[in-house]
Amino acid sequence: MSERIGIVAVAQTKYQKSRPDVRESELVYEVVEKLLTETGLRFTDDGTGIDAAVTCSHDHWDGVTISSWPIADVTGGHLRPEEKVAEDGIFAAYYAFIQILSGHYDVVLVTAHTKESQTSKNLIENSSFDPVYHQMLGLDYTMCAALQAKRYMYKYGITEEQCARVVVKNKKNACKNPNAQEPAELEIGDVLSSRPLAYPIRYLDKKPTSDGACAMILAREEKAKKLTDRPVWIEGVGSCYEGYYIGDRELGDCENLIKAAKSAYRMAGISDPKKEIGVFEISEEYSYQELLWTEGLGLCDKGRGGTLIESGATALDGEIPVNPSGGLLSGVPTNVAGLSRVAEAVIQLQGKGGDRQVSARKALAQGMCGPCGQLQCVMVLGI
Amino acid sequence: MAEKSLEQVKISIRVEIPYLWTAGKYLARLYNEIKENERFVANKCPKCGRILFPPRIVCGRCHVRASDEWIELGPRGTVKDYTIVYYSMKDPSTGKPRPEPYPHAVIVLDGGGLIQHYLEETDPEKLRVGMRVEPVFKPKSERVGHPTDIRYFRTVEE
Ligand SMILES: [Zn+2]
Repeated sequence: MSERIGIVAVAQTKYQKSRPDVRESELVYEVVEKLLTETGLRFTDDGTGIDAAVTCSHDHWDGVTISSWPIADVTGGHLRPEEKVAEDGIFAAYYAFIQILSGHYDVVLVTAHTKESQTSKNLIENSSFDPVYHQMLGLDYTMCAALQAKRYMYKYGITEEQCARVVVKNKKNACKNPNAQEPAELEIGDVLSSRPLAYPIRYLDKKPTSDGACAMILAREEKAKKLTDRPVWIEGVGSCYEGYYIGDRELGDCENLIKAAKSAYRMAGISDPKKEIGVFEISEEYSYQELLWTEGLGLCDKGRGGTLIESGATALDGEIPVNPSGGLLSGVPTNVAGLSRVAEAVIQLQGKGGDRQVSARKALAQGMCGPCGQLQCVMVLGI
Repeated sequence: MAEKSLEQVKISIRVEIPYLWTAGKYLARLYNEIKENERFVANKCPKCGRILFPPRIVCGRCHVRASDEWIELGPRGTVKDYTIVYYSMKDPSTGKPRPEPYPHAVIVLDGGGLIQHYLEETDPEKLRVGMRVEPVFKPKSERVGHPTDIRYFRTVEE
């Protein structure tokens, strides 16, 4: 890269189980207004402010096709560029990064929002499956995640206790995050005795229903330095898709995440992520995923994700803290999930983590979309 | 050897996904006024002064938060654009097909602000741009706080 691209400011709503007080535009403006106030930027057409917006939301979740129209006004989309991605917010950040790299824009706003409370997660997920095959079997992501969890446990001897440790760790970290929805001090036994959803996944192994929004501003180096004294540079990005048919995939390993991470590491010049990256904010919609994803990211060997969490390395005070924010298990909406991982990575690198602050000069954010992490994206950030 | 052609397989699914949308605080104010008082209200852009109807949080042209100043519009208005629909379309509020043909119009409310709604008049010969209309509300007991609380706009002679 000839010129670096930086994230200059991030904002998140407090994540909540339900936000019946606001519609999408009002929810998103909560975070956009924070960014405008913090940076002093305005939406302008003369190159002095925000040049364009990339948003992430989902037609099915919002119940309208072209789900970005309700937020066009609040993201500066009136007679101006606004483009939407529908997979996960981290891809919106990726898209904005590429827009700036292309030379077309200097400063781009990125947003993501979802109000999970307004519909049924199971039914929305069901509609993502092949209508002439799996949809009629009533599949949703939790059932698929259960198949992946079982495969992972069977293949490597990962235990339910090791998975439960992820819930205990992340909800405890969430107690130090003022934006977190469901912080809690739990014991492993609390997780193991929560009601079963789809064996081996229990209620507390799954991310709760959540409403919220996240936004950030990306800028070309020269402008980023003027907008903040603490820009966070996007040093590497990689993504990788996986086949649709669950049966075609080896669920016990995450080859697509391994490839996405390799691609991001190559771009960022990372050879040993465990030594070179100080903090990881990753997308664990289900507890087992944090263990499996840490393997995919190269933080331990295949099948050693359970041992890694037992060692304490991924705890808030460990060598490689994973999800100091409390992760998705503490409550972050789908679509917002990956972008909030990037936001939390930026918060850490800017030293704004408050009680959840860890020491790091490089951070990693991971987002995903689809059943069992079908589409993966990894972003390496640095100061 | 001629291959026997395969029979086509078609799958029919009815997808029903429930939603419970929230109107947010700006639309809620309009909807409550419709329900309780048969009135239309709007907010304004503090920068360009334009009327925001339906009311909303931000003026998309000026990128500024709407002012807290609320104004009343209509209830009478003038037809700006119209079409006559000759096919049956589901009425989402009842789930039943709407009898056709029916006019769908854009109406400029007195005082400003545009509302899209039906017209009572279905005779194409009697429809014209610039015609004066007024809303016909459902009885209060049937109103739920929504634009469908208005049955249609009827022609008025002034
Ligand atoms: Zn204005």
